[in-house]
Amino acid sequence: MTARQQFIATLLLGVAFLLLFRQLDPTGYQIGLMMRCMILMIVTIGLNILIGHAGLVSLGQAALYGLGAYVAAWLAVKQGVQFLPAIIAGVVVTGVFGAVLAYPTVRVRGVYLAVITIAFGLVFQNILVEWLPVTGGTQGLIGIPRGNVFGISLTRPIYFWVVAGCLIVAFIIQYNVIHSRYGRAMRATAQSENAAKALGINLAATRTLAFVISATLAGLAGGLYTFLNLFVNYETFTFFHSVSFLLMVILGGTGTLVGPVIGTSILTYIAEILQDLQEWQIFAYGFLLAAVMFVMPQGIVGSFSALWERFLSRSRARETQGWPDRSVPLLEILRPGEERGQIALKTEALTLRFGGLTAVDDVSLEVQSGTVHALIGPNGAGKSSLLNLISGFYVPTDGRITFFGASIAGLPSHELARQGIARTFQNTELFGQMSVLENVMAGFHAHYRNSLAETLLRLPRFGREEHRFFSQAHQLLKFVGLADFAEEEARNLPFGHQRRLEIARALALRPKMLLLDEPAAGLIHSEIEDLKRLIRLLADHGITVVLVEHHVEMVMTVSDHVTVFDYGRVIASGTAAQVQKNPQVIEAYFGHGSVMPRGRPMPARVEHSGAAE
Amino acid sequence: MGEILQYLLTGLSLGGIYALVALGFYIMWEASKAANFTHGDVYMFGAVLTVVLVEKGLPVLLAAPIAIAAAAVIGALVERLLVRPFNKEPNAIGWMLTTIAAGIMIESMATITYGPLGRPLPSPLAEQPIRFGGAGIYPQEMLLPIAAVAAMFGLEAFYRRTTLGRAMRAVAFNRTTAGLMGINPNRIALIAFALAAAIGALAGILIAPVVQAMPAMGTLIGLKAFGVAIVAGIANARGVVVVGICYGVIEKFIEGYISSGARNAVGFTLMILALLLFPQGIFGRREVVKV
Amino acid sequence: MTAPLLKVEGLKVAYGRIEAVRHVDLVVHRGECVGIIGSNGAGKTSTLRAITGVVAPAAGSITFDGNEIGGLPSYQIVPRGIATVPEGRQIFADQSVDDNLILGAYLRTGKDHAGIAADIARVLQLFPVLRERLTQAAGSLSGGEQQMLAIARGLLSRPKLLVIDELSLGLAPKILDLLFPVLVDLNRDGLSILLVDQMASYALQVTHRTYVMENGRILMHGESRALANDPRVLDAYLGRRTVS
Repeated sequence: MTARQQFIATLLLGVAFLLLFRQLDPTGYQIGLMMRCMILMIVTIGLNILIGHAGLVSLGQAALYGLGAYVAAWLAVKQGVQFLPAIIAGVVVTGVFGAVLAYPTVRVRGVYLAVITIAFGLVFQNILVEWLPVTGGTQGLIGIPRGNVFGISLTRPIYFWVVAGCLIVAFIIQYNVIHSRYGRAMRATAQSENAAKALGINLAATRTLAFVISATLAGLAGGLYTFLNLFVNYETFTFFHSVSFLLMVILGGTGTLVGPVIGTSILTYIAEILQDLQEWQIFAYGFLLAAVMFVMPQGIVGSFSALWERFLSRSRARETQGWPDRSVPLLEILRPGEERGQIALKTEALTLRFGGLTAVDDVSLEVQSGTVHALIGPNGAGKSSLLNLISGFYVPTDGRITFFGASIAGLPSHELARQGIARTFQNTELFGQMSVLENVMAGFHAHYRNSLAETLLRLPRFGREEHRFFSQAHQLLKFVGLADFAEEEARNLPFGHQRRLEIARALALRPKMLLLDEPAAGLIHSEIEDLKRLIRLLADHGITVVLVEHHVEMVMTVSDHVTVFDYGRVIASGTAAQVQKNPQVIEAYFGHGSVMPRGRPMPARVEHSGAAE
Repeated sequence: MGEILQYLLTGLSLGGIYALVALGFYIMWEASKAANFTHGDVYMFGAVLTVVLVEKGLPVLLAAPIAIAAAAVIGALVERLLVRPFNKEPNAIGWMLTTIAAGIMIESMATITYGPLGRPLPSPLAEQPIRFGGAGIYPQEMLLPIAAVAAMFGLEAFYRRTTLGRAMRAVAFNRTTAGLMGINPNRIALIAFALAAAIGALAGILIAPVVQAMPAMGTLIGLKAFGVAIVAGIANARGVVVVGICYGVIEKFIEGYISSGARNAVGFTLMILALLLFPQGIFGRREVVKV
Repeated sequence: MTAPLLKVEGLKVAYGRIEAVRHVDLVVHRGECVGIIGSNGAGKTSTLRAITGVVAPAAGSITFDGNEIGGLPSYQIVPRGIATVPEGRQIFADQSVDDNLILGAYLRTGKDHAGIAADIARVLQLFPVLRERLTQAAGSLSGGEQQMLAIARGLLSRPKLLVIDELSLGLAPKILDLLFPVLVDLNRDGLSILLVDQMASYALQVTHRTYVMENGRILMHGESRALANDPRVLDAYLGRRTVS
């Protein structure tokens, strides 16, 4: 079942369920319970996007939920504002706070972010209790008038469908975001920050978007809750509630489409059963969270999907094609624009020092466009540091770097990616939990034109662009011989295939220059031959290739120009043949002269042991 | 003048609690790069168990060490069962959720069995407050900052002068290389968690005569102390104790000059701001990550 | 014929999907100094990591002093008599030189107080500059001094086999001229050594036998003196290889 089918099926089933529910003539209490459940689903759908896709754990979601509720309540009770504007105001305010909460993610993640969100939640709760004139203190705000839209009073039976409608909208938003470049960007930032940056994805902007979406959904839910309950107080928005939202998401299945719906339903049901046993209910939540972590960390939907996947992939063997596939019209996809004969990259007196160590020392070099230029040297010679400087991962201490004449030193990596510098990494930084195809689609991120609004509303341009990049991604996979692996999860690929995928993804950026960091490491001989052909093919198409490599035989046969490093400095530069004869190069690799004390050579074997093998 | 002195004294006492509990977080973090959201609950457990044992007739000087030992066992179990299996990757956070879950269970279990109300722990040092300069404080309360500073020095001596202490620092600095010296990183983590729990329980026992022992006393203290440890940068014992004591003093001053209720809001906001200004903590080490 | 001190058979090491070591057989006899050379990415360090327990082998067996140690964690391998001088030194920079030495003797703590003190005195005689810096933070030492500390630390557990990973990394030739002869002396005094280095010429001069690795396999091996004069070794390093 594809994601799309799952989405539509769930929507239809959900609506059918709600219609059936109403048909059974439920009591006012039961309707209210169902509505509260649906409202919480809106919160958990937002939290699911934040945790499951952007990888950001928030333990303060209850505060955002409460913020939406209190803003709407205060406006309704104290200012006589109507239902719609009150809710919208709640959504806007919460959205702003979501952006505020996102700011720390620029610097911190993981536990540190969790602490900030916990602190935020506690601050909010404290304000609710203390700020008597505005929040009503411990009593809260009471006497909220029933919602009224265009003259229709929102009594429970009617309001039920308003809430259901909002839930459906939230569910659609979740789907539309997840299956778009925004969702891909979020997952990319969660799975490999470095690779995401190198593809032009702005980490801060992506994380802020995730926070804002989850916050606005929580704020919407809060406003809806206000007009359901007709009073609000601080006891609904505590740290414990933030934890229970987290539990709902995890129990259902973090990152799955339907997970939040299932998790919320189950927990609401449990809460109902244990209603009178307050303490046991709390205990049960704690126990359930621990149990899920031990037994079913992927949650219900996640575990089910995993089993289903394993069942499916057992039946299908994938076929690896040869690469590079010359039948693929590379020029159409890549469109390298720059003319030959230019200097693609130039560094002048480039220096990098950190902590007393000079990793790159006064390096000046030039790379001609459309050529293959190799950087070699012993371990610790500074080659990778140089690559990191060129791709914006390190900031130079001194010196200049220009790219086709424009200065780029100190620019951040995602900016350089957008200017046409792509790279691969020593430890293939694939987005392991995304499919092979999705990895390449992430590479196209910087080239999309459609906006967030067009994505959310699924306007025609969205469909056209997705389709176009989809087919181009397939072409790139065909180019590297992985067409049959499109749906496979990237982390399941054999190592050589992972390298191919990383190159295909880098090509999706449509780079003018491609930096390869030890691309041959770990490849077997035939794969290295393929790699050499691919590199030459790219150069023939006008792409400048700079590679750092230890596999010297490969370097010597594929490069137009070789620069040799040692201790951070350039010690030789020229064609492969010239460099191989250079005595300084030989010494750098091999060491020198005699190290033995006073000319006493080592014996061929140790006297008293057995024969050497 | 009397007011300021009062806030200062009670602030030192409160800060002593934060410092001791935060020291526990520091010890655990150093050993395993993970913390423990049940830590606030061992603080509570120490107090509650001591009260229960004393009510059953044990002298407090026997009950307290037993409670501390029991807390140490809990700490060790938490490390072994809840943290170690969920801490395999460098940026794993599974341990956060499992320890939160355990914390919830411990607290609700305590509420169910012990009851939600606080019960006193008698102590001669909590009967007559000492008064001077217009301020009054129970001698019992001053035990806390004294214990915190003593623990700080004790910990430093432990880390600098004993081989086990050096081994713990080694594990914190470079787990793999510590293993190459024959040091078992898992055993070190276990010891660290047990030690941290013991210190946390001690804090709970020391303050119980003043505030009474109840199941709800731990959660907020735990969260605040964790914040304190992170804001301090979890880099060294001194930094953690300094930040802890300062935070206690700041809270009391906020309570005095603004309102009792405002202290959490203002305090946590300050914490957030401090973390934004010093992402690695005030005394923290900048970690250089190789690309 | 006595059994070898260390025997590695059919070793395979993988990190996730990356096969760093495809198939390695090697031995170190008691009293030998054996080298592994090869260009970067050849799998030398991964081989050592498997031997010292930093990674578990994906296949193959590692036998030390008659016991199978493949797959054991480091802290269980060290007590059997293997000490490591890791790649990049990996000294405990936040602790003093003295602390580092004490940690080197961790396994003997409480059991051999006098012996540890004697050994510390001995290594300080071997590397006098460390005595001057005994109470300084190890991180403040120069690269060469840190390397001396790492070697000294390794000696403190009185190992049977000392495993040295990339001694020459980042060190100037002058320092290497000082350090390598120390290894020769230690070996003559009975310490078995397994040495991995990129700098083939150094390794070939101080070892009895050497293995040349490439792409996760042993390309060739033999007496170091013979290999030092074999043009194929140089060719392998500089890509002039005619060997298939």
